[in-house]
Amino acid sequence: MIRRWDLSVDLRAALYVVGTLIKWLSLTFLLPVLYALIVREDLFPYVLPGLIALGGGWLLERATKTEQDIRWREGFLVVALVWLLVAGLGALPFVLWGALSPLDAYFESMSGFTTTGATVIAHVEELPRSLLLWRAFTQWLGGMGIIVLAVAILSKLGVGGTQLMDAEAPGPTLERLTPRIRETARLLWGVYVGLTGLNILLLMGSGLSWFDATAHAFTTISTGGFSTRDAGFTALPPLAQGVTMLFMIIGGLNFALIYRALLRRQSAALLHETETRFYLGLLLGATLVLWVHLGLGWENLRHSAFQAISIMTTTGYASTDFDRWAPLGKMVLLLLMFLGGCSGSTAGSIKVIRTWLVLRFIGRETQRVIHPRVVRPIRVSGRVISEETVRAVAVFSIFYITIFALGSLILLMDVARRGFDLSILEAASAVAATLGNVGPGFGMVGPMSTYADLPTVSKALLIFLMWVGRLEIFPVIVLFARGYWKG
Amino acid sequence: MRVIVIGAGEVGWSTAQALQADHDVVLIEKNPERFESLQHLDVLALCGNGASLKTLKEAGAETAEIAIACTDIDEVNIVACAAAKQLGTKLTIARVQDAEYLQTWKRGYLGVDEMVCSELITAQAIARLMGLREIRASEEFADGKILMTETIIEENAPIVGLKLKDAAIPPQCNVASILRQGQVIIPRGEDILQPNDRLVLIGTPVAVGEFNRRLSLHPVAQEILIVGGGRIGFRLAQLLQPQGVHPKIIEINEERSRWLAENLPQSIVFHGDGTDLDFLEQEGLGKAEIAASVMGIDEKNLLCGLLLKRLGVAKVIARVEDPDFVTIFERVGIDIAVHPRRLIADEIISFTRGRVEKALFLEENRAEVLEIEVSPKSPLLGVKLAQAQLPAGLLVGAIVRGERVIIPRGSDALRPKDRVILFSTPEAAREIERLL
Repeated sequence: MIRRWDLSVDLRAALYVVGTLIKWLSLTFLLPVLYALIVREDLFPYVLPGLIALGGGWLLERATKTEQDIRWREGFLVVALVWLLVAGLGALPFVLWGALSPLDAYFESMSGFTTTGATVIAHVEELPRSLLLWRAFTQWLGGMGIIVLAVAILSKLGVGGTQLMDAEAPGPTLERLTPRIRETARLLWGVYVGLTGLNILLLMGSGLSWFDATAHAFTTISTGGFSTRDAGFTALPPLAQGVTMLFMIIGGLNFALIYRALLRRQSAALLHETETRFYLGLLLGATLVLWVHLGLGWENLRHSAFQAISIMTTTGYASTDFDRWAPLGKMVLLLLMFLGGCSGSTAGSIKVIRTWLVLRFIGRETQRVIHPRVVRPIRVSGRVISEETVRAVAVFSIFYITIFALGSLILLMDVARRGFDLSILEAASAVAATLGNVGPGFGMVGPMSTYADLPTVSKALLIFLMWVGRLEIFPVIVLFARGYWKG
Repeated sequence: MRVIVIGAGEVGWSTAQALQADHDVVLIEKNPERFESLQHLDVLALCGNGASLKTLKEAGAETAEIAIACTDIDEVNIVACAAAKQLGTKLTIARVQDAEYLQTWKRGYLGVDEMVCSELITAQAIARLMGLREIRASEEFADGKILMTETIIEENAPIVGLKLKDAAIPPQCNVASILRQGQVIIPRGEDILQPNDRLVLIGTPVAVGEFNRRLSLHPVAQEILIVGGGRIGFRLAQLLQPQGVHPKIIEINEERSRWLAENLPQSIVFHGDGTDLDFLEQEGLGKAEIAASVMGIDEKNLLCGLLLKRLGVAKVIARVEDPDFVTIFERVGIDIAVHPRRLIADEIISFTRGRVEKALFLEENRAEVLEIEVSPKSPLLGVKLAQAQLPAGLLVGAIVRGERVIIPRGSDALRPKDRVILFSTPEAAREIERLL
């Protein structure tokens, strides 16, 4: 145990790791550079940010060189900072192409890395191809996590890697596949890359060009939601929609369990897991409700399933303009935005395991009103969940809802100040869709429109919400607690 | 022969007391204060650490037949046995409290020849008493091939008023005796069964179980309450699980109650005090059919047992550690007092007996049940039991021949190597050595 009084933040050690991470993440610009070379587009918008990342990272690393390993406390700071900076670097190509203003570019980039999929670009088909690829690629990087990627690649992060990965990982617990965190990170990325490859092949098989297939695979498995088409998935063939449904579901599963099922032949670990079953059950239930609501028929079944999957896994694709659905359909989708996928998946939002635990918690506490002295631990798949974890999950869920409520309020205040007319549903959906990393909401921010028209403060607020949502609140919020810095 | 007993606690004391008449007993005790009380025993008492070679050599472990380690610390007992074995003691017996060590140990490993686990033996003893309300004692013989029960006949039982020969007793079950108002009656076919008679049944577990169910007015108890979730309480709940019975458990320690709830997913665990009347009433725990109070403090077990009895529990079993309390418990209203140290001492003593494998006393020593191997020199070999002219208070309850169980009739005869389960009065018991 670390004693309380020596827990002040070691800023130097934290910045040193930030420098290292940024330096190495500059390599991610190689992909758009290579692609731009092939299609003979301008290299400059990717080379410059790459060099800035490389040089800036290197300078930061030099300036803060230290032998100190980061501890738990620095982990939050590193992760939060790296995500902010990476989104900034990722925004540069949009600015350098002259496509977007700096704030819009930052919005687009944060939406990319956090796999939100909320866009400010109305006509994506007008963008250069290399920029479209970069836009999809940011989601792919953010899906499994840039920190996980760095831990997998950089041996130097071995020790502090656990703290970093834990701060970034979705869900209440990080499942270790191997004793060494680096091996775990590699295996997870390996599965991720493999599934992405398969997704690309299947999309090409269903009639997409290899460019469209790759870009969509990048944003499907990562449950991101950016498309290379203005009309999104309404423009793509039903077979591609089917493939995409499958991979969105996979993206919402726990990758550690996928690994065990595929490569260690422990399919029971995946299929008998309460979370997996609850997740699939919720998807099925939502699909059925939507289907009955829309009216039975094959076409409607496809749209119900696609929309239920797309919104619950926080992808945000649209196979139809669901903004035109009746209130019940919209309400179902709005609620699905709060569910998310499984822990250890690429999905955002609260995650179904937390929902499950909260439901069990409610059940248990109801029992306790009747039998105050009964001791009943909460179990998931037979494993006992510690009261500590249950409490943390309950607090997270309350916190999440609180941020949602406050965020909606602030958003409405800002748009009112600017004389915008935004309905409650529009505001609530915008906040839920960004905080949950879903993407599109309803009305003005619906699937067929964009976030471009929102006022500046609102955009900044939504950027903040995407950041907070992706890192699951606490790594960011602790930075605003005085105790964090003072120790 | 020389027997070394390590640890002069309740178990060691009882063991030494039981063995002192027939063997040279050396008793090793570490605590000088307890050492004083050993002067009443006819044993050689040594003060020292029973796990040290020096003390063991002093006690003559090189030439000893048996070393019994029964201090209160499991690890010390295992080490003491290993050390004694090393020195040349033929048979080593370790008493452990934690049943985990039974898993760690395999027969003969660690220098321990036999391991007896107090919590397990106690839990097993209580679990055997759990099934039917009418069962007042229950014991296994011949590695579980034979079951003996003492069963009370309630007022309205269908069997009341019948002659024994008309009671449709299963062939694999023997009524060894009727205990009536402190009298031990060796039954005949003409005896008429009366309310509050207690029948001592000996036979195969299936037949005895079947007959008991027929005697009983109530179905096998499902509503079972365990007060005290210590090791014994936990083991007891575990033993009941395979029978589909999931007891409610009351545990006073919050952390422990959580642990129990985690490890007994099917049971309902309450965090509370078993002597808190309000709590017992509010949770309706008096509705239990059978309750076992197995907390660590005798007085609390007594109090809790009496409260539960008052709340309407049909049968209450209480654990008692102080030997002086055993009879008091049963006098004031506890149905059965279970005395773990006595159980463990009996178990240990059974290893030291030559031919007598196991002995059990009923009705405050007015009768005993013995398991014994027939001597090759027995005058009864080959003689039909009907013609054997056994003493009046002696009855052959069952014969175990290899794997086979025989409930003897007059035409059966004993063979060498048979093991017999005898029911005997103390007078008749004196004849056993000569006859078998």
